[in-house]
Amino acid sequence: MSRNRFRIGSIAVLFAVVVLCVAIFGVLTVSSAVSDRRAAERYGEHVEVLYACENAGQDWLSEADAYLKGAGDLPENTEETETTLKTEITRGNMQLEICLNKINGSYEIAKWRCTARWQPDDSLNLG
Amino acid sequence: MIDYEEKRSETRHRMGFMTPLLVFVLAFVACCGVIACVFLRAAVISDEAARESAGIALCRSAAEEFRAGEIPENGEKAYFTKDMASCAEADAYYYIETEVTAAETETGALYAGKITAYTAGQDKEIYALNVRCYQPKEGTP
Amino acid sequence: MTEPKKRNSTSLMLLLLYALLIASLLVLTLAGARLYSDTMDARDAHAKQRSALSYIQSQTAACGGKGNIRLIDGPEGPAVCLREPESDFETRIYLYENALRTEFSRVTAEIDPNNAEKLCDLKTFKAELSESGLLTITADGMTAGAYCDGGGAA
Repeated sequence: MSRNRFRIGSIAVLFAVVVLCVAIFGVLTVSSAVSDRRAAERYGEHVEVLYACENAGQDWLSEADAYLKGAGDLPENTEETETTLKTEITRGNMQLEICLNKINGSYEIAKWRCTARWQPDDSLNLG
Repeated sequence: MIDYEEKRSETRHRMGFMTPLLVFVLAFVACCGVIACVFLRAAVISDEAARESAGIALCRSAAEEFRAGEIPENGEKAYFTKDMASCAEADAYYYIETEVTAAETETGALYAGKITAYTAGQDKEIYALNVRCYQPKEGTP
Repeated sequence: MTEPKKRNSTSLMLLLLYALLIASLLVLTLAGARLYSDTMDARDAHAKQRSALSYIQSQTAACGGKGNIRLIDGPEGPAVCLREPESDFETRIYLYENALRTEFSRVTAEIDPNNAEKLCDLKTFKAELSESGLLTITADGMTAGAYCDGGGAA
């Protein structure tokens, strides 16, 4: 009996170590792939919000042009001075600042700036 | 009778070392199967991430061109390889389709576009983006 | 005579089985490492794409107007310069030593790659600015457009 005993002690240890290493590789691979997909999804959401902001800016521009040519009312949320029309459009965490210079009943875009809104964190008393 | 005894003990000895061996091999195959499933799942998720990234990049580029005034025809398609380089329809891995509508006003036209990215093989939608561009009538800035 | 032969064949069989199991374990380890490496490469490629292209697109949208965008000669090809609104400072993006770099400096200052921050690894970088103000960027074969509506100091 002892002559034909199959000794699996050493290979069982090796098997356990290798399977553990490969299982860790597997978990890391899944984790990396999931984080990559999540990053892509979040970027997609950011782009949607950005274009919602830009599209609202284009809508405002068409209303402002109509107003300057006397074909419409002053658009909502618009600051008017003698020479300029300004607005700030907010969608989600993005903010679009538009400034138009009035020129002979028409306009010239002086500023078109789309940035992320920054909310200061006052939770820590660092004063 | 001694022969029978010897044969029985021999058989028991063979079965004695075969059983743990079989169990070991089965355990090995089961572990390999589970690990293979895990890696396959990771590959599928990685592919989804690649497609989504490419779809977003292609839609965003097309949207920027739309805003710059390069407005395509309604339903126009553009084809791209897996590396997002422009190509012919036959070599395409992705394609984008743009639906354009125009709302004419007294002072100009407000073009609205819906840009959708698809995988070429399965015509599966990856990402869609809405974009608008106002173009005043000629003679104005 | 038959017993030693049986013992030899059994030992040989066991040795072969042992070797087969060891080889299978090695193949499994190599396959696992290769698959992990491929996933990490894919993730790096997507991150590079987001860094190189979408960073420039976002900066263009935030620069305040197409008058604030210009192209100059960088150390290894064109440099995209995005001027801060109402300021004498600009963000310069260019290729240097196989990496896309960003430098924030005065408009009148010379390009100094030593002051630049590395964005991502990149082999090729091209930029074109059309008359309509559409900035077309090509980075390692990937092309993207960036546009900012009119305005901004020239």
